[in-house]
Amino acid sequence: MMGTIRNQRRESAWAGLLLVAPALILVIVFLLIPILYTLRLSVAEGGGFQVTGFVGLENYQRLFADPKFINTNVFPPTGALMNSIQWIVFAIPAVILIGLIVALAADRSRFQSLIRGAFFLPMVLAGTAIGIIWLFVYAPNANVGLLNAMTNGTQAWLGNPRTVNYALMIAWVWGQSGLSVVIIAAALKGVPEDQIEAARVDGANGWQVFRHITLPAIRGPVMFLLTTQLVQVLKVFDVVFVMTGGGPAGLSRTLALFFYEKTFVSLDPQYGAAIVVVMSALIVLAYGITRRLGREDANV
Amino acid sequence: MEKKSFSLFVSLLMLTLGLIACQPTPVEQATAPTAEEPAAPAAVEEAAPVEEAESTGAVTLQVMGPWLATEADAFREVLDGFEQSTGITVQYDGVDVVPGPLSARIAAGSPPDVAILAVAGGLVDFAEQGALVPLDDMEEEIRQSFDEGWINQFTINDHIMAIPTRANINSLMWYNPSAIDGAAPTSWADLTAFCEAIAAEGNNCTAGLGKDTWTLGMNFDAVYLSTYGAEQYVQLLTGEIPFNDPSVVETFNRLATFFGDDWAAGGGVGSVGTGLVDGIARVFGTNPDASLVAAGSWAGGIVAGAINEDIVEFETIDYVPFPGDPAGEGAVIASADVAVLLTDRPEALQLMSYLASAEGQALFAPNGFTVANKNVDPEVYDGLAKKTASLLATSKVAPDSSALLPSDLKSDLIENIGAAILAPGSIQTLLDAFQESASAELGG
Repeated sequence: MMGTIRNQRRESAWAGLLLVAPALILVIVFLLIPILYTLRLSVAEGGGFQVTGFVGLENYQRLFADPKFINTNVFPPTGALMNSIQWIVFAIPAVILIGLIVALAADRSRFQSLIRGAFFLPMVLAGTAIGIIWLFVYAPNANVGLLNAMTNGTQAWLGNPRTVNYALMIAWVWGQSGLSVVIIAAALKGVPEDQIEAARVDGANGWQVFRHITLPAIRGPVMFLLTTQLVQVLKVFDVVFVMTGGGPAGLSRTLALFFYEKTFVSLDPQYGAAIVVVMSALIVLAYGITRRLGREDANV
Repeated sequence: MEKKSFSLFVSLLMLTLGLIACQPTPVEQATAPTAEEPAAPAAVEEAAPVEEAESTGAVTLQVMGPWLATEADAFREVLDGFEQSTGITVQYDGVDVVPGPLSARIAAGSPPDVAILAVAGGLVDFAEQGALVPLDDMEEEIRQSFDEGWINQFTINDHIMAIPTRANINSLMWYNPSAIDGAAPTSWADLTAFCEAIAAEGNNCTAGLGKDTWTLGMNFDAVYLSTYGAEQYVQLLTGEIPFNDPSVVETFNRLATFFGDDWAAGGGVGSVGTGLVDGIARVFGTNPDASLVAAGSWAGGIVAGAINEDIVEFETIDYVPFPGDPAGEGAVIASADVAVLLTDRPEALQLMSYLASAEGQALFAPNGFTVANKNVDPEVYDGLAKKTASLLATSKVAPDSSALLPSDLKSDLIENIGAAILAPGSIQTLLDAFQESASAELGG
């Protein structure tokens, strides 16, 4: 009897393995092997993509001593890592906040489909196209630049160290907000009407309804947005590459652009692999933090 | 049942692994016979030229280059000339930035036969990797066709590693003759007086193009060469002179002046925040707000094609060599897109020979491109192109710094120029720090 049960379990395990085998092979070939190759590359040396020897953590030591990655000799610190952190701090809240405000406004409007559609439209554009569009907005020449034409100025928004990163973030937020509008708008449809009505009958004002009923109800989608935007921000490349190339004087360089420069311009893919490993570690860390935050929030 | 499932699983797994294992490697892809489709041109990444030649008598060469759209069409005309004279087919694969994809193909063991590197970018890196075939067999014809300055540029460890094709002068200053009083300044002292007079009237003298950061590197080359001459310029780029030398400090100061708050439209911030086309448009557009722009000989094409089609050569657009000091006279910074050989196939060498020849290079001229071969008849050009060709032929040619500096160091130099324009007070500090990394890479 026991033998039959064991046989059945083994048989079902094999059948399960058989079913997942195609996906498993794809994961191994397209995910696991590239990850292992990148890790190997990051501790290696050699010309181009060739590996001629191993150098341990030397590429990582170089990276953390590289002022282009992080320069702690000035205050506040500068470098690609700090720029990417700046993006996390400012761009992600902006995307979620705009999504929330527009979705709430659209929810109360007769033209909600139109509003959602208008905000979603930039989502279908490639990052490079968004970059080119915003180059026209920021151009210093008022005959070309929309912003300077409106303000009758000649500001070089992308040349000024004080404004360049924010100017880039605005362009990126414009491209990303549509997704948060659509997701939050969909989540708002799931907020229980009866609870809202009951709260109003009990005398709750608009803010109290939002804080205690609407916000908890859309927490899940907002946490999803937070996680995906964190990943997107740490990978941001196209908009920066097209609009500033990391300039002026490298002040708008992001981690992804730094990786590109080292791998494909400096032809130092071993160093580039070290950058991308650190980027991936940051993404995993950020993902872990947002998941933890989401769980803690749910427990409150 | 258990046995059946296990056998099925093992069979499928073996089949899958077998299929993966049987996939040809890139090297095999490049050399495997293609008897099934001998006449069809192979895909660029998977061509099998040698065996194809053996089985059909036809040979297909692969060329990778940075020219796209109309530039690729112009190059096609050159390749057509080669195909007609030799019967060898050439497939051209245009990519935006060559070094990355080329590096990947070299690593995969299937490089193209010939590659064109834009302004020699990455030449030193590829040569140091041993990826390039020296052009020893062509040395005599190369020496007969090109100025010594070009040959020195592309000689690495005593071997000529590349030939220049399309060439530009990058140390020029453009202006609108009808919009300025008198002649354009031709020395730094003249330029200073000229721009101070314009600035005193509250107008902009110069326009920057620094948002496209490579232009800052081009401007550095122009200012250093025009101030100190070709010999000292090459000494600097080869590590014989340190980058915190007073000559480099002076060059950075001149750049900070030319693109700074007093002279430039939008000041230093405007100079590093204005893109190439926008900057040129500040001088040649319909509402100009600056008088001078430092750019290469290619700028005329940008003006005619993208900024102002009513422009008239020598009447409303002209250039002078970048104004400097007497030591820098008679020399120009010239950059060329260079052809390099990556395989030792005789047909590939034949193509290189054609690309180096006056006959091959002359085919670029009808499309408005000047070339490096000094034996090309000047009459094939007209207008400003003729002026450029003549200047190229009569000047001492000094290389674009991209040809001599490792790409990493060049991008650091450019970044420091941007920082110097934004904060001229930090020039010495920037150069001291830069010299540390430069000495590690260049020695000295």
